[in-house]
Amino acid sequence: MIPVSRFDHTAIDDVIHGRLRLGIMAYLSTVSPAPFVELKAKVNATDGNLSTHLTKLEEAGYVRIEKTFAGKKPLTLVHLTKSGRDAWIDYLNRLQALISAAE
Amino acid sequence: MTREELLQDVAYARALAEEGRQAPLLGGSYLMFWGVLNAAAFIAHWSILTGYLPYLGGMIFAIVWGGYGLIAALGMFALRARACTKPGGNAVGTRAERAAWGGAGLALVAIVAGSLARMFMTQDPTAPNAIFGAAYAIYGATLFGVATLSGQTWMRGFAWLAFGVALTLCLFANDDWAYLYAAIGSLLVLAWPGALLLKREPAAIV
Repeated sequence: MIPVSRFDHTAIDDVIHGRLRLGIMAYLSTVSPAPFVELKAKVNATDGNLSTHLTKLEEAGYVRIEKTFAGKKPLTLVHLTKSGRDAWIDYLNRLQALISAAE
Repeated sequence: MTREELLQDVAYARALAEEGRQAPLLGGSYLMFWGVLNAAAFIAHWSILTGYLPYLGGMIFAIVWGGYGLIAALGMFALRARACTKPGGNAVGTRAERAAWGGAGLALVAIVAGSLARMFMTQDPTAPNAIFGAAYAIYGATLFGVATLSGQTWMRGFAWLAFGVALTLCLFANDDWAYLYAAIGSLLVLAWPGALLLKREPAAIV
């Protein structure tokens, strides 16, 4: 009989686990708030694509978008929220557990 | 989802998080500015003490240090505007750098205000000589802290250099040549690491 794998991919947070959203969360974990243009350059996304994924993360309460000005230029800042940081840490823990289970 | 896919995702996330953690510090222009400005003011002060600049009944000190304050205010205003255009402005290391130098600035203001007050209250013209020894000790402590918090450990060498300059200046605070020594120290422990940080700064993002 084939042993049942303990590798359960449903345990990880789908809101975070898209490749782009993963990149956003990872970068925000060390740079928060990050300007939208900086984040876009780091995760190599288009404006529209990044906006869509940020909306998903914002709806989940993981990020907060702030519209402000730097001098006369509009500036969009993306903040990692406290629940976003908690979710990120939880996500990493689950990922680690999954990888360990798969070994 | 396979284990390999997961590992690739983890590697991607790690690379991005590392990029934020290792983001270059943005204080190079500030260090360079203060290093050069302090050096110029110290050289001017030394020139007055040694007779290379006219004494003008003591007014020259007010002119030199008043000009220093004005240039410092204008420079900080310009540098702050410049820093807004740089990526990584809120990276962990940059925030640590900002907080540490902000605290150092307040400590320096307290020392300068106390020393000047003592000079006016006691009519002791040597009272401000207590400033630069303490200032270099604060520079050293701040450079050391920023180096550790940001992972830019090469800056610790400059911190030790600042401690050495502080020790000498505390010992010889009332000698005229101490101002010239402080000017050289300013270029070594502020302007030099500032130039190194500036070389590593990323381009503007806007």
